[in-house]
Formats: sequence, structure tokens, C-alpha cells
Amino acid sequence: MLAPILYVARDEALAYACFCALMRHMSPLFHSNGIAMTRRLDLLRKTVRAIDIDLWTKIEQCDIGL
Amino acid sequence: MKFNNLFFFFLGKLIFTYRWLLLDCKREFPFKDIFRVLETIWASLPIDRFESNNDNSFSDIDDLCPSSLCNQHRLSMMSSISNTMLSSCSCTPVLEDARSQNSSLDGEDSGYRDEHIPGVFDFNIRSQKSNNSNTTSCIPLGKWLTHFSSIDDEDKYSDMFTIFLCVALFEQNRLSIMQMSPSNTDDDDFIGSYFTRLVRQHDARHALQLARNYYRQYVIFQMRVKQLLLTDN
Repeated sequence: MLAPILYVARDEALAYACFCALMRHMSPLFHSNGIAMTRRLDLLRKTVRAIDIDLWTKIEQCDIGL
Repeated sequence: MKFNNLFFFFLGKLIFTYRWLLLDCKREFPFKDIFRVLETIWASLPIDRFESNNDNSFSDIDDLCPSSLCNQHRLSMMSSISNTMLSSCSCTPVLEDARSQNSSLDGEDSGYRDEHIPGVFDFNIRSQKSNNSNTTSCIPLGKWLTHFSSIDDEDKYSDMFTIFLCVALFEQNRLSIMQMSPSNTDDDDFIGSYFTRLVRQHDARHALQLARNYYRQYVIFQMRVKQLLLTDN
């Protein structure tokens, strides 16, 4: 995630500050309890199922999960 | 290690999208397109989302961000909606075409610079224009929205663009996925390995357009449901 920020900011100190802010914003996703990620995954499943039920059934068949 | 495996087992299907959701699809697109993708995702967030974390234990780092500057922008929900409207308005087909011409002139490297960020004035003109031609009022809302009929809280709301971007990635590869046969088990995780091969190769422009389209429908639908609830009360 740092590379694009450094590319735009062209200043290591500024890029570091931006990166820290971004990581703080995203920190729930990286938390070891996985609550935020599980919620996102559930949301994605729900959305794929809602938008394209055929594709979802196909994915269910072909994706063994692990 | 064992715990991780168990953890993933209970998470169920679509585990291969873990990286997409964890890194906001950063790894899925070519480097020159990442700026466009990340900017669009961040534009869909409520403005005060980044500051709301300032009260926690990291406050010692926060002098990096002058709070007086941040507080000026303390706007709520509506700002998030107008943000997303801005980003969705900027994807009218005409604009997309104009932009693609621009970017081909600019060359590959500056791909992120041609993302047009309209000012408020710009937005007003455009919304007037589209009101005249009667397009905003009749954006076709998909039937799939009925699955989202409950009002979402703002936290959930702010995740939705990433979710729709993932759906767009699926839709882009719909044909290939539909041709896979579950009986052919050469590979352990068929769809997962298919998408692993496609890292950094997805078409960002098209995916963003699709995701914006979903997101626009979703936001308008949420606003309408909210209005209905208000008038009911």
C-alpha cells in the first residue's frame, strides 16, 4: 500500500505519514479476531448472491473453500 | 497454523477474495491503475471517517495531521453521499470516452492524473444538465436491491464500494467462471487459482465503471428508503 502513496507524494516523510493514517483507518481489517474481515466476506457473499444468482451457484460448486 | 486453517474453514466460500477485501483490491490491478482505484474507493468514504479514529490510543501520532485543518471538514453522512454522487456522476459515458482519449495522450505513467475530480460548481452544472435531460431521476434500479431493503448503518455503507468492485471483478470474468466444471479437480481451488493467475491484470477502467454503476444504484436506493421511512414517521 505504501508504493502508490510514495509515487504520488514523492516525499518519504509525507508518504510515511499518509501510510500511517491509512493503516490506522484500515486497522480493523488486520485485527487478529477477524471480525471486520468476516463481515466484509459475508457482505461480499450476500452481494454476489443478490446481483448474480447464477454466478453464485457456479462459484459455490467450483470453490471448495480452502 | 492449525488455528488459521480452522479459521478459514469456518469462513466458508470465497476465501480467495480475502486479499481483495483486505487490501481494497490493490493487488488486482496494474500499478498504473491503482491510483484511480484507490482514489475512487476513498472518495466513497464519509469525510470524517479518517478523523473518527483520532480519539483512540494513537493520538500521539496525530500531530502529523493538524486537527484544526481536519475539523473544518467535519461534515456527516450527507457529505459521503454527495461524494459518491460526484464520483458516480463523473462516469457518464461521454466523460469516460473523453478521459480515455486523454490518458492515451498522457501516456501510461500518468494514469492517475487524468482522473477528473469535479468541483462543486462543476457538479452543479452537470446535475442541472442531467436533470434537463431527465436522467438522474430515472436511473434504472436493479431488482437485486430488494435484498438490501434494510437501512445500513454508516460503517457498512462505507465498505460497499470495495464490495461492488469485487463483484465487478467477478462479472468481468463471468464467462470463464461459468465454463469451469466442478468435476475437473486438477487444482484444489479452481476459482481461487484462476484469479491468482490474473493478479495485476484486471481492467481497472471497466471494473470501476461497473462498480460505480452498482454503487450509484445502491446509494440512490438507500436514500429513497430513508426518505420513505421519514415520510412514514
